[in-house]
Amino acid sequence: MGVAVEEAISNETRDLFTSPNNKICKLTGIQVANTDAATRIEIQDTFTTTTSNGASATSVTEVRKVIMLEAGKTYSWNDDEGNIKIFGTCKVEVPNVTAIDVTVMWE
Amino acid sequence: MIKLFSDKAPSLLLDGYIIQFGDGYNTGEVAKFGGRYYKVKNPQQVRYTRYYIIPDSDYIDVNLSNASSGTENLYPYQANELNEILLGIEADGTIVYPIIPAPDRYFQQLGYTGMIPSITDSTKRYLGCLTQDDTTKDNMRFRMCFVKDEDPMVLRCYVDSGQSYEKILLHFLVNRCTISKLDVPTESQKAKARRILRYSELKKGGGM
Repeated sequence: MGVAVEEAISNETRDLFTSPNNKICKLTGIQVANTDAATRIEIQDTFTTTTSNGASATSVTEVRKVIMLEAGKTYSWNDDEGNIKIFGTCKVEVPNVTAIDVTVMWE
Repeated sequence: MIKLFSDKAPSLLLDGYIIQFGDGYNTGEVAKFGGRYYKVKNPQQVRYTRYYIIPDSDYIDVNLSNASSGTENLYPYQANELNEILLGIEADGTIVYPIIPAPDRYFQQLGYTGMIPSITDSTKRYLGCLTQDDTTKDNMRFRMCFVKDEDPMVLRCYVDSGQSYEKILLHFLVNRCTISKLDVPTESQKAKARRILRYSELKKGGGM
C-alpha cells in the first residue's frame, strides 16, 4: 500500500512510484485538483519488456488512464478491486501549461 | 516428480524423511538414483520470484535447469542434493505449459491422435496447461522434484490475446534437500518411504 503526491505539475511528466519487480501494483485511488487551466491528464506505466519468442526487449509506455479536467475542478476515483495494473514506473503527464496536484494510491 | 495437487499445497520433504526414487531414474544422467532409498537431511526453503513482461499472443520459455546461459539454475548443483520446487503463477490471461524434456515434449497431453497442446491452435491452446487458477503464490499446488543433471524442464508462458502486455510472475519455493543413500534400508524405512517418480514414469504417451 502506498501513496504518491505531486504538486504543481505543469507541462511535464513526473514519476509517481515504481512497482517492485516481484509484484504487480494496482491503482486503488486517484485524486486530482486543477488550480489553473483545463487540461488532459495521463496516468502512464513505463516498463521494459523481456526478450520473448517474438520480440526483443524494449521500453514501452502504456497509458493506463486519461482524465479530462476543466479549470478549477477536482477529480476523485477509487477502485478497491485494483483493476488498473502497473508493471513498471507509474507516471503522470500533464501536457499543458497549468497547475495540477495529483495524489495516487496503490497496493 | 511433477504433479498438480487437486486441493491444497503439498507438504514438503522434511528432515529425516525417507525417499525412494522410481525406476525412471535408471537411465541417462540420473541413472544412479533408480530404485534406491535416500534419507533427507537439513532441508532449507528458498523463495525466488522471477518476472517477465511480454506482449500478448507471444510466449517465453523459462528453462528451470542449469543447462546453459539464460536458464534459471533451479536444479541442484551437487550430486547429493534434491530440489523439491513448488510453483505459484501470478499473471492474468497467461497460460503455462510444462515441457520436459525441453524443448518440445509437453508434459500434459491426451491419448488421442493430435491431442497435444498447441499455442497456434485456438482450441488446443487450452489443453494441458496451467493458469493462476491452478496454482497461486499463496497456494502452490504444482510440485516438481529435480536431481543434478536431470533433463531440462521448460515452463512455456504464453500471454493470451487481448492483454496488450502482461507481467508474468513465477513464484518458486525451492526446498533444498541434502540426501544420503541408505545402502541397506530397513523394512520400516521402505514402508514409509515417499516415492519420487521421474517425469518419464508420470508422463502418459499418445497424442502425437
